[in-house]
Amino acid sequence: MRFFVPLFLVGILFPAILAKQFTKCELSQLLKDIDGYGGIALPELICTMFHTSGYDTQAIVENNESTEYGLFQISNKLWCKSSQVPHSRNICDISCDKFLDDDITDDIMCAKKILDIKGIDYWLAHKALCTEKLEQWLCEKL
Amino acid sequence: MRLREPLLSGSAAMPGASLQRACRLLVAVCALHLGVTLVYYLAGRDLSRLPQLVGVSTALQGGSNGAAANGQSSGELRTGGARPPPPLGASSQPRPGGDSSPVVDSGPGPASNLTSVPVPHTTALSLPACPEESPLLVGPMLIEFNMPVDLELVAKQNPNVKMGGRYAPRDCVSPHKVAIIIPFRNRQEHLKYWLYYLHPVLQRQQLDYGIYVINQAGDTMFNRAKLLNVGFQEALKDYDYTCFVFSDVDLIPMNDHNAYRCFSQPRHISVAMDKFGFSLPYVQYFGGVSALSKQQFLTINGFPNNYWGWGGEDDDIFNRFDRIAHTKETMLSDGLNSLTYQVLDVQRYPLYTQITVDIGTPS
Repeated sequence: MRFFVPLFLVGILFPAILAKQFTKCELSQLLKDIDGYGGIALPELICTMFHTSGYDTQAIVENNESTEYGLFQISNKLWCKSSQVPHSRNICDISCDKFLDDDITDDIMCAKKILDIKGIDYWLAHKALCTEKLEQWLCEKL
Repeated sequence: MRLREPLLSGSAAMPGASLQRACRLLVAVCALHLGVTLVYYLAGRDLSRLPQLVGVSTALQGGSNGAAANGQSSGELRTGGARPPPPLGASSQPRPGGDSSPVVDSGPGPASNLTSVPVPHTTALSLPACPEESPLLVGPMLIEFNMPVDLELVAKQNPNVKMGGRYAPRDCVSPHKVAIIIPFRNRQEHLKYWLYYLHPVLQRQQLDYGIYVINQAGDTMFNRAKLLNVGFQEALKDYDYTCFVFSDVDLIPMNDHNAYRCFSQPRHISVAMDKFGFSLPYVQYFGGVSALSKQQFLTINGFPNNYWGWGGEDDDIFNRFDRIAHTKETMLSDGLNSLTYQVLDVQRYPLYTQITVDIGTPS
């Protein structure tokens, strides 16, 4: 019996150290407080983030002169600080690497600033794929 | 009055003596089960049995162990309803570069530089029409990518497939004249598996088909949609195809009831893929494998030519969504009617025709 306890602990620890890939419903739960923020309904946001990062908190995409980080694919050109763009305005006043961890509270904070200043069209996926057929992005369990 | 004895673990005085025996019996049964499973596993590694597993339904395939069927909205599927997802081994998408052992490639072999392939004309008058649903279908198939594929051997296994990857049923006349167009660049290993699995399926479906691999020359961003347009035009130079199935090179059907032919409306064939958990990732998704008749394709002016960097080659995905948003507006101006390209080479291999094209660069 004593043998199994440490094994069990290792077993439950292991998933905790892997990358966080949200499901539609998990993300809906976390974002439900910003439903309607900036005039954007929750399913629009869920849809946009699916096409933007696939709900992967570790998504990182390098473009020619900038890089986009995390679930919200926030760019270091304007919004966060990284060594690639030293003169960035860093509007969210945060290091871009913080957008790659499992805790998305800071990501949400910055996404709200983007919605305030630039609007939903910062995320190109929205206009392309998230203006209709939004029922598929609802989480029934909420 | 008897004092209760303290409970000792493992002691014969424990009230659960029969429980202990039952546990031992359970362990024995589990060991037996594992042994039997091991025997089946080792037996399954016998490669010469592979054609049997792929082409003929065995006891292994018939029951709930069968791979999940791709869902079809029409009544094409004989077995309705949802099937349970297949066991872990039966994925339908190979990992790139997973094939470690060297493979004897049929390569150029008997390839020729002919620009058209003569199709043997049977006396159509004497042959009946092929039945609405082929009687040769087997249902779920076991798809694996852990064995090397030798295209020379595949050609021998499919003797009725003619040069250039052409086939027409010998016993009946098929109404489905299908050109299968595969956009391609540097995925030879995937192509081998595709040919290995698909030729038997397409023949069982009694299609009058040809395989066209459209190979993008050069190093610029992959443009899947434009390659499909090229495939449409080039295939029509060979034969009066009335149906076009566009397939990614790395998608294999897991059930041969997924008809690779056209219907009254454009059809998305790959609706349930293992990599997406056998459900559509989103409603508007039309990638993977789709079927459009010649008329349907012409009606939409084909596919757009300006979607560079698609198909997983994420050099710069920045403009991707912008273009999607404008597709409705650009449909009439960006498509077949604005298609320009240059054919660099046409190779007829036994199992497929490869057309190498220069499709230019993003403007």
